[in-house]
Amino acid sequence: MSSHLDSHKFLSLLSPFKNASIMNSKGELIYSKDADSFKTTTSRIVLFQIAKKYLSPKPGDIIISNDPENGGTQLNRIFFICCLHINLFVVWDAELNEVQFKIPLTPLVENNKKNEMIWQALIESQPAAEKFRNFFEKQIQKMNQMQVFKKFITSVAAESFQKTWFKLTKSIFEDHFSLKSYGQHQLSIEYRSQSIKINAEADEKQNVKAFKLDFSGTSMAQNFSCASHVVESGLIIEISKFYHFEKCLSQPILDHLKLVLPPRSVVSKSIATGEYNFELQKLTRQMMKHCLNQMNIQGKKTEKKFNIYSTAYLSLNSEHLQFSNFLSNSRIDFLIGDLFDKKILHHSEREYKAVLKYRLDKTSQLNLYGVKSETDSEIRWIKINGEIAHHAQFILKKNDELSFEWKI
Amino acid sequence: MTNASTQALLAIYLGETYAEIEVRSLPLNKKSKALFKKNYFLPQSSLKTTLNQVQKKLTELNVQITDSYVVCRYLERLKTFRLGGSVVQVVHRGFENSYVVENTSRVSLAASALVISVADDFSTEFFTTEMIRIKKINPDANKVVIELDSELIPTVDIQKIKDFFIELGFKIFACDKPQDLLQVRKTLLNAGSEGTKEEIISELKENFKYGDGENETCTKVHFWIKDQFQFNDSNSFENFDLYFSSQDFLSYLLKQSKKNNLIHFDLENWMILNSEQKNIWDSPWGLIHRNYNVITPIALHPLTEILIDETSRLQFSKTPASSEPGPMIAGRGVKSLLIDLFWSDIHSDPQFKTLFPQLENCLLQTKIESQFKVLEKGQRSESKELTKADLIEFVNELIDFELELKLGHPASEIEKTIWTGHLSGLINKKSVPFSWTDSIYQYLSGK
Repeated sequence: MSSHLDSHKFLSLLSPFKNASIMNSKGELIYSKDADSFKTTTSRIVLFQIAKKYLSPKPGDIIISNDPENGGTQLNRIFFICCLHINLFVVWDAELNEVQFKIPLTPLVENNKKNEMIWQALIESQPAAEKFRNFFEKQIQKMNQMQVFKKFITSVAAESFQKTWFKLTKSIFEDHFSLKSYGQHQLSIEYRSQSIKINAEADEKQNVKAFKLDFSGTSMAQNFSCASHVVESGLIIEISKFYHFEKCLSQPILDHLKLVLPPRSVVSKSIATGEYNFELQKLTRQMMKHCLNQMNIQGKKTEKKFNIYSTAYLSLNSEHLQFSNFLSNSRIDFLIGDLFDKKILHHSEREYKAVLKYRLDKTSQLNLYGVKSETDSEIRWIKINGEIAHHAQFILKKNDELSFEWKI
Repeated sequence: MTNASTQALLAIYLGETYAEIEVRSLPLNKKSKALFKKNYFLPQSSLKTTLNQVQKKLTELNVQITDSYVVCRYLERLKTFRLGGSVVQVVHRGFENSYVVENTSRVSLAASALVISVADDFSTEFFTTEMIRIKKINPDANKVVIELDSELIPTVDIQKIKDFFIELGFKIFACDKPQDLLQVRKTLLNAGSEGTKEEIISELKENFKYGDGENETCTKVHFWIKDQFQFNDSNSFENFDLYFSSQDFLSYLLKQSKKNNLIHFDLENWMILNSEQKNIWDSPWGLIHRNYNVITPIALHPLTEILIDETSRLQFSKTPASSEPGPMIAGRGVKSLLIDLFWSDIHSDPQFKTLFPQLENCLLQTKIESQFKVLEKGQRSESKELTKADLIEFVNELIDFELELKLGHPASEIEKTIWTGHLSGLINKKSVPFSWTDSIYQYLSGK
């Protein structure tokens, strides 16, 4: 018997992944999970469609790619498109900071066997071959783990199941959507000396409930841009969280979300390094959240002014460690490990301070991305060797100083 | 107590929500029988009351407890608390609450207001003044964690600080590498858990003491830590080890069984334990060094609530309900919890007779059934309403699904797994009935 509680089985199936989707052969989303701080909901759908078009994955195949200009996001985020059944696919992503080169769509596993030529060229030839091997073998193991559930896979792959499931999730969407106010809210901000306009609207016309988000009028993207799927992924998650339908995010719900992102708005051509992905996804999510809250506040008197808050994402890659640290207005995840001597490490009244001296003889690479607010620069900043750092790649040498002050 | 009293050992599983207590006479051998055995649902009977009841019964039986062997999960209840309300920290200036910076969403280990920041050139007067401030905030502060590096402050000065606090009656917890945040957390956790460990020990000693004056003796308390029982006074373990006592004991049972995995379905948690070891514990307070066998929790918890959400659909709660008042089967609960679904199996199982005595009451049985009827009738469903029987079927299916996913083989292949926990029979009919205290005595008699 199929019920909305089946979402628990999907969640269990996807428990080895941070970000993952279950899809059918048409590319319709059956179930989605995004637990990473960087969301890839739509990116996974886009990559699946590209993989299907060019490589037609079959049961037992895994196709990989990280190409930021072709469905991917950043070079270190590898996407895996795995075919469990002719009508059932799982797509997930995982990070390996050592990957700093482009991987076009590549058949890593075919009919449950590693493609030896690809394996040799992509993994065994790397200077950090062991790290690569461990990473990719772990990902293949995840497919093997899922394949055990032949009966479940067959039942979910069936058209009849999917039809019922989609009907259920559509009904859940409509119920949750009706619990919030309808209306619209416009927000216009200046960021990086450019204007971003957003118009959010929740409405019901002729019995069709829909959410529309329009970035028309924004003239932002020139060199500072990203692919539309990057922004869409963040917006979809923000909307699902607000309406509480994260547990059943699926195709019928996506069909009710209309995101208008004209070319040369916040999105334009993708950038090969994907270096603005995090910043644009986080910035538009902040705007989206504000609009959703405002649409559900009664009366204009309570309308809150929108202030961007700074966020930072630091990926640190040394020979033996790989960190992804994140700072926002509500939390700090900053694993220090043994890479730094701690000169100051202090917390008081929600203010966090750190002065850290890099201690290794070998250099490490530090990538820093994030939203930079003009209004909170006094209470949220990161410095490298005394200079404010916001968006860049650094090579940390012995005795370099990384410091931050951050209020949450 | 006369000389003719029976000398005996007490085995106790002190869980988060229940205690299983058994007494067997000495000399212990494989045929030793229980002089006393009973389970207690702790939210309805404090540890003090529970042990007092046991003590009264043993006095009637003229039994004297020489040693108490404790497998413990009691400290699990501290995992959601902010610890260290009576713990003072002495730290280098600039390192106040340093352990928090790595992850701000974790639970606090010590009160920020009780921090004393030390500059390199501190004086004794400085500490005297600081203690006046501390005592105004918490007059009951009685433990101090000294997080000072001897490379920055001479050892002799650190000793002076320790002496200062010893004189004031403080218990000292020293962390000599304040740069090492894992060690800082561990030391703070040792200090923050001291009170609970002392509660267990003092209640056991208080209830099982014999003789008067100089002849007074009391039970010796041993905790299961790592792969053996460790005498409490031996300084062979640290307080934070107690968070792993029951997990370590199950790891021992797994090792003894020579199987790949242990599946544990008890009244307090459902999980798979395997022989793979990890050495860093991602605790609720942040990372701490500790070797332990890896556990994989099952998504559903025995205290998961079954409820109707805002769209009138049946859902499982994201987090388990509190153990107080606990499930309906314990008598006072009002929420329908997952374990309540299985009330009739639990009622017919003799091992639960002393744990859930209220379940004998027909009114309670009717109440449980009515609650599930309310859920059945109150829900909105696109197809057929989910009845209690459907829910049981779904829960069993989901558990089988998760077990197979996480084990890599069907859970029914029991030659590869060992099953433990009082509810294992509900999930796997072929599993052997489990008892914590039986397992403890098996270890003790086989030593």
